[in-house]
Amino acid sequence: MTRNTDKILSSLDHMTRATAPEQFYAGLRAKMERQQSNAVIYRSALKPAYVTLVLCIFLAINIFLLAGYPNPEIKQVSTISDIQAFATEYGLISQSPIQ
Amino acid sequence: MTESELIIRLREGNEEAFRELVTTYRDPVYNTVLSIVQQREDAQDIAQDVFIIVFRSVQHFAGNSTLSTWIYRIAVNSSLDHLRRKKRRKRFGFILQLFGDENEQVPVEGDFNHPGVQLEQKENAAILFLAVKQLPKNQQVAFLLNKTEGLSYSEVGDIMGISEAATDGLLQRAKQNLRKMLNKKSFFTKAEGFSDK
Repeated sequence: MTRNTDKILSSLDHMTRATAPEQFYAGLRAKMERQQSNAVIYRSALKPAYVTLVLCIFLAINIFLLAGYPNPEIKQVSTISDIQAFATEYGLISQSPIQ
Repeated sequence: MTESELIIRLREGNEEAFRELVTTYRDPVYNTVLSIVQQREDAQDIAQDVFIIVFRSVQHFAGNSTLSTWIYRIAVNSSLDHLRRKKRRKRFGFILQLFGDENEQVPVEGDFNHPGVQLEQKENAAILFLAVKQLPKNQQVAFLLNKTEGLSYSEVGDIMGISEAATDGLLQRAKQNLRKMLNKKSFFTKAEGFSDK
């Protein structure tokens, strides 16, 4: 067992260095160009003009939604008049005992 | 071109200097990465990433070590990062499989045959590489830099940021652990299991 272990442990003793594949440099340049173009797209998406435009759109949507929201005061008035109409119809309006 | 001239021209973004850098260091970098990750396809990808990191960060190279030491250090760190990511992916893939996602495959690892090993040593070297993978990372790196790259204790120490004596201790422990592992019968049963896959 020990002799076998020694053989295994010395199996890398006279090994040579692995050589990189032939197209290593061409592949590397292609990878760098790909990463460069991705970085350009990312950078252009973060340009101040684009950021301002996105903020303006967001603001416009907010204004549009707020403008279209019903006024709570008007709703309250209409609710009160509805109750009064209901009370009148069924004679539920309390009258003063003096009258 | 001297090393300092090469660094200056690399900082200027000179393509000719970059080509020379890659030509000089591609084999040491590829061999180092391949020995650590033990996967040819991954090794090429990582080795290319090493040169991209070198090109982008050469501005910050302080010159406290030689260029080759710095490049080896990047190669070792990139390889270890890759192994950590792979381990995480493997664990996550296993969890997904438990929950029934059959598309998530757990990668199966087989024998690794280093192309630089002599033909009659292939089988023994494959077992040794399998055992090396079980070592703690610092012992693994020291052992592989010394054995597969043929670097001296002092060069290994420079790359790992430790003294020559500490490198010696690390290599002694690595060899002891490998011997212990190889003397166990259970290790060979496991190794045969890997070969069958």
